[in-house]
Amino acid sequence: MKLTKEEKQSLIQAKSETDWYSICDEIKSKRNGIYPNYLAREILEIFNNKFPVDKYKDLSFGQIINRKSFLNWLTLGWLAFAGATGGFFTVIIRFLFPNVLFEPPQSFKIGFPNDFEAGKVDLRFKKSHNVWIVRDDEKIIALSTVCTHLGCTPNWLEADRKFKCPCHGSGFRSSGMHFEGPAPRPLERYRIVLSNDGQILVDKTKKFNYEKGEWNRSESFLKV
Amino acid sequence: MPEDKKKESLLEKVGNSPVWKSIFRSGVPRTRRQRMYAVLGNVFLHLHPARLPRHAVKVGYTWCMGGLSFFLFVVLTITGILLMFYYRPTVEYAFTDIIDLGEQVPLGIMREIHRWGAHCMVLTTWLHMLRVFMTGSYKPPREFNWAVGVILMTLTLLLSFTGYLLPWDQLAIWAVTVGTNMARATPFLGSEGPGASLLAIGDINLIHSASDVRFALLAGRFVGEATLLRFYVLHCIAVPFIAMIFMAVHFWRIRKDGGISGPL
Amino acid sequence: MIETLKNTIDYLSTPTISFTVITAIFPFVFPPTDWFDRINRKLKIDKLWTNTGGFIQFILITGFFVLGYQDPNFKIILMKGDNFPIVLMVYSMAFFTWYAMKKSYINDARLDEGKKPMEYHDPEDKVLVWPDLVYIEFICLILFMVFLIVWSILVPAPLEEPANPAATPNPSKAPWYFLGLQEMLVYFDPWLAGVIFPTLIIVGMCAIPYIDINKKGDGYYSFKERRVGYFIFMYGWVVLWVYLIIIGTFFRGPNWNFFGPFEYWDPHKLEVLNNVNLSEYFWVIGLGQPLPSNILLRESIGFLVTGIYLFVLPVLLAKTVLKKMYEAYGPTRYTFLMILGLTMLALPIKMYLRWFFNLKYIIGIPEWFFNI
Repeated sequence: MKLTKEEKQSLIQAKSETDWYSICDEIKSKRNGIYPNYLAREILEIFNNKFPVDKYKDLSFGQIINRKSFLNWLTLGWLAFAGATGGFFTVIIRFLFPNVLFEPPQSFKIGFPNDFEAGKVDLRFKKSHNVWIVRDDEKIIALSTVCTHLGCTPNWLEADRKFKCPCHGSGFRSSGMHFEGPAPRPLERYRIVLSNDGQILVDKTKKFNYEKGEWNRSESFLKV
Repeated sequence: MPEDKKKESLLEKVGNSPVWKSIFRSGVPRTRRQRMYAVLGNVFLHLHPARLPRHAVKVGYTWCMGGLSFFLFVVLTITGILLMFYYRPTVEYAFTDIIDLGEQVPLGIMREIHRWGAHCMVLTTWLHMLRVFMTGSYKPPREFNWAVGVILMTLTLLLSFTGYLLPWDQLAIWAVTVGTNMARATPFLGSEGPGASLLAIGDINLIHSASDVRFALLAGRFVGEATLLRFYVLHCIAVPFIAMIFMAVHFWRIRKDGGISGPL
Repeated sequence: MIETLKNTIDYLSTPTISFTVITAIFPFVFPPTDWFDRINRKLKIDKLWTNTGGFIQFILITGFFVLGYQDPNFKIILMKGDNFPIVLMVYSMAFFTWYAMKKSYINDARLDEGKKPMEYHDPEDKVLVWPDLVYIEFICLILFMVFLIVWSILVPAPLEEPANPAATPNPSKAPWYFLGLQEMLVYFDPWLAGVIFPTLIIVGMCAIPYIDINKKGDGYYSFKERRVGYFIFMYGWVVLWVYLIIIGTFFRGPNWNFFGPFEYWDPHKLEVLNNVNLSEYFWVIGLGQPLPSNILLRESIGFLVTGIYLFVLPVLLAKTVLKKMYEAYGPTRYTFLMILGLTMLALPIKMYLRWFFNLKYIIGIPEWFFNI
């Protein structure tokens, strides 16, 4: 049998704990001492509402630090930890990039303009510096030998007058313009200027991309 | 009772000797109890539970592919260590050392075992995955272990790929050039990936060919000396180390997720 | 006679034809629905997974390799050291697929009769790891090691000329297990085929157990209980991975041109590749105008198509055809499945667009390296 309304009321209105227990005894005796679980749960719920107890009171940080300052310290701690870890990983990533590169110099002299024949693709600097020097009737350009598709090295086919990439078959004209295959854009051109001694200087640190409209900028070609 | 002692076979004599028993606590496993104890008391064997459902020992069910993959990992580790005694990861020596491994070193098939074993390991991991899929063994509670398995398969491919460069022949550098050039196209992090040009301060590009993921992988703008060393370290130390951690998790989880899968 | 056969095989193996044929017959071999299943049984395709069927598959594959070995052109490819694992792959893939399917069909028949699957044993009846399992493992390892050593003695590991950064060999191939990716590169730009797709493959594979909510068929071979799962997995696995590897190994020659298995790898083979972007189709050919100079306006049609494919299509499907599935899966799982599934489907779609319309890019912004 569940608690009746009056029993509930009297429990809620109990003035002290002794009072409470005498009411409980009364309820029990009414039911001939039978005290099933559901009844106990009902009574316990009222008891917990009436006499709230913080079971973990002694363990709470509240006595040492108050909640607000604790949260601040916690946040600060975690932020510091995250920062340190992040910094550590950044340093590790930076570690992967050496300060000195043992690669051929990025800018180099290739000889005098007259060394290059008009209408010819010069293959001499392909192996050492990864550039083709192409001279047509009015200008000399330095083309990157890196296929814009996946970075293979195309081959110059004199008979077909095109660069043909062996990896996926991209084709480029001698100007560097792409016309067949999967390459998404033309070959890149490097900065090319005359140095003081009259030799041609190729500077690979500066690139000129056709799709950005940079091929008509000065220094992307050498007028002859 | 000298009469009884004579009947003891040599195996039993060794098996019951104090030295043997100090190593293998169970002695000669004759009874069911001793046999279970032999598995439980052995650090290597206790990868397995002591008892298994009957279908779990059928090769027709398991194809033994997971076991073979692990076995191949061990074979590759051992042959790999042996190869490291002779191989120098430099542009000058790498290729000739590989030739010497076949011609100047006794038992010149170590590289063959290593290379064919590596190909086999790719195949066995794939077939293991196929088996696990076909039997639906990835279903709960084994979902997480399937994911770990997928990562292990990726690591197997990476191991094989990093090892591909080491002979330093035409096959090697061009396969790796083609393979790593894709890294250049990583969105934001590759110099020719979409979004990379957005990462710039004023006129200065943060992501260029000497600061993108491909560079981190190759230690240069193209496949060269530094790349060889980097791939060597990745192949011999870094990736196996990561793979071993994942393997430990993989094997542990087989046991923890209720042992081998099977019909209920 | 042999020549005709070779020419026929050469012709049939062109990606346009072989891919279409395989894709078309695939649902009949691994039927995902009742309708396909009925035809599968009517045409007796399920006999593929019997002993006779397996034997015929074995004869066909072996016949192909024997025929190929006789041919001077194919022999060169076949005898390359690194291609041997692919022969092994073809055999082992065929065998294990056949074997798993055979077991599945046997189990399906048992389940129909109300019996437990073959793998079922009384849970109380257990075997001991020592010696029952340990010895089986031991024998497996020894047999495998013998196989490996014999292989190593017979076939030297390949070693070509010393590395030369200036001379790219023609063709340059990635290691065989990545040739599927390299094949995708023909149709997609590297940032997709080389970065996004591999990532999605790995993520998608990891996600399989979380997406597949079919509780049945756990721990035994069974086709009937998981046929949609089998179908999707086998399609991705056999067609979009293994088939592409085979194409990449055996059929891709100089300049990454396609060559039939018995064709001579002619480095001067000319293939006309005049690919056109969707923007050119729309503005130049469709409207007869020059391409707009504004990049976003130029590619707006591409963005529209891609947007519809990725964002509108899943919603439409969820409201119509896949309504039941959407309800069973819930929004998160459904979204994941759609992203992965549509990306997987994007590969065949782009292949066909390339073959039929010479379409290069749907969105083509080389200025930003953003091409789809």
